[in-house]
Amino acid sequence: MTRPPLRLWLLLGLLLLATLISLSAGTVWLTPDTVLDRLLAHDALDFEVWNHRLPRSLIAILAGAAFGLAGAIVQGVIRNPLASPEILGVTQGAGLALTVAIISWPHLPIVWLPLVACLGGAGGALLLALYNTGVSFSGVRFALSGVAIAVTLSSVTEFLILSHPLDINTALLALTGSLWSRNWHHVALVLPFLVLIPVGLCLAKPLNLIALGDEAAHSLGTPLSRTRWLAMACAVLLTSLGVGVIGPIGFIGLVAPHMARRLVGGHHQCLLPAAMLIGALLLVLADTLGRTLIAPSEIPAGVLTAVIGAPYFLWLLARFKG
Amino acid sequence: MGRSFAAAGIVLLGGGLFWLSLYSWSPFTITAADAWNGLVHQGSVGGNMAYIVAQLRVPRALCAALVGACLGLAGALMQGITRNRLASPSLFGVTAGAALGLALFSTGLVALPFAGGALLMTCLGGALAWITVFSLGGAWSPTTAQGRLVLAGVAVAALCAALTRLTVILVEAQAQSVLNWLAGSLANVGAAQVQLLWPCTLIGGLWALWCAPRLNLINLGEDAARSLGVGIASLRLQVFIASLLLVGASVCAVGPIGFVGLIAPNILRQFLGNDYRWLIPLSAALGAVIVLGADLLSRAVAFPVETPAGVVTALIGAPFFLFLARRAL
Repeated sequence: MTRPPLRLWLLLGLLLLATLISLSAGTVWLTPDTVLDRLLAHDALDFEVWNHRLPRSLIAILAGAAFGLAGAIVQGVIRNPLASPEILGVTQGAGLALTVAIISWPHLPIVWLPLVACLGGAGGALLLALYNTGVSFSGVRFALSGVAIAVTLSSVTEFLILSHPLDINTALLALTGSLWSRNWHHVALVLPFLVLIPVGLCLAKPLNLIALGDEAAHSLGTPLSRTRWLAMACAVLLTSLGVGVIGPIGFIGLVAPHMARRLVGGHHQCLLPAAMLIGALLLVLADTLGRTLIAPSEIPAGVLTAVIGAPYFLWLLARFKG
Repeated sequence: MGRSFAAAGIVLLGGGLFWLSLYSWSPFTITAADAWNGLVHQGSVGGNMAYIVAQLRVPRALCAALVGACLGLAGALMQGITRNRLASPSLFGVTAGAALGLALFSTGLVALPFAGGALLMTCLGGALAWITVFSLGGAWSPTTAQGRLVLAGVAVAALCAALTRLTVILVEAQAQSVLNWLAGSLANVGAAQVQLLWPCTLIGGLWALWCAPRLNLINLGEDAARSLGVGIASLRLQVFIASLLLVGASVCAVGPIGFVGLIAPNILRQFLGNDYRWLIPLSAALGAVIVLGADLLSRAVAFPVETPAGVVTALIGAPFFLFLARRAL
């Protein structure tokens, strides 16, 4: 039991390093010393580090951690390696709700957007649950129905965006899946994560029991349906809140738990934090790459995570039997 | 009897939609008489409006019909060869791959300085996507679940879409025009696109018809087909090339238009059964009807602004996919 915690510390170290790099990289490169000096000084007039890069990095860390954790919880509850929030319709449901809100109330304060996203995400998940009632459960079928719902919801979103060309820019900004122009106001919006993430981590023990199989978990005293509902609600909230602040970022919720499982094994006490750290690491790296590769313009982080994540998913699918 | 009625109905419907799309929902007031003059006299009689019909409306309607036919044919071919009712160019990622090919070509990242370079690139992109999906999804192994191929296809489509966006971002940043194109729009088509489409549709269509009897045999099971003398590998290769040509040409002309290849054959199956000798030509006709209808709707929903036709087909097709996914498994 000594090795997994060691690896967790290693991941934490990597995340800190990546954050430091992300604070120094950009259109103007700073040395790590300068970055540290400016952080300690935290001067409100320091545009680059304090007002621009630090909030971005904080949001990236929190949102990435939330996506990774949500993915690990969903895979734990459904016991299906192909499951993840973005193929359960949660991400697309949140995106659709955001689009509807932005188009119908153009002057909606951004404080409301995460709430709207949570409603939409819960709606998407409920749709999937309804769709799958009354059929026997299989991994591929479940994933396929999730994809079908996701495709349906996103086609409606695309239709709304393209048939309202005047509002397109606001909606696109919210739906690109990018950390561009996110600032301290947005950091305030991701603060609920500080409550949700510990709640998610507390699920480790019941998830371990669920992994043993429904009957074993039941006979060991787990209230199965209550745990499932709590876990899914937690995953939906984590994902939708993230989508509400930075837009849909694909594949982190799918890829991070798998990488975590390879690193620290299937024990949820280690798996959940590892998935969080890897999710945060992936998003910070994607954001840093996105704004340095073709500086001064930007590649949205969501595009980069898809470029990395989709091949990984294909590789998983090729190995997945069932 | 039923089949002939279905065929006649679809052709009539297609003709009606074609005629409507010549003069409906136009920012200028075009009358039916102008449409007639434009269609029959190529705009030499009847003034400006008839000229508009001849120069813009007729090529556009032709393009819509041809693209629909291409996609319907490709969908029927793919469903026939995989015996999978969810098979279609968009769900297998072929459309997205072709779009990536075209994005690489039209942004100049891959320069092919000869005529037909765009078509070649779309076909190559589609081919790469197809090969990836089929090898990773375990297409030819008899034990795999049918949904697997679609999962692989959706992942490949997501990857290709991300790469397409990356390409576009690297080169230019005009959101609106690129988004319209990526959604498959018929707004800017003209005679050049018709010139590109009709030979491809003709070749692909005839080829598909020629494959139809063998697809019927494949439907009995691959072992049965083999013992009846069907060369499975050669048939797969032929279907592969024919559908790539069809999808490539349609993407090259108007951008990716999704779900037509899924909807058309599956609706027809309800009436015609699984006889590909009927299914293939009528899929082409029904595909044309769907795209013509989607184009009309795309002009009507937010008139006078145009919504890309591909978005309209997705809006109709995605719930259809939802319905099929529940039944097919």
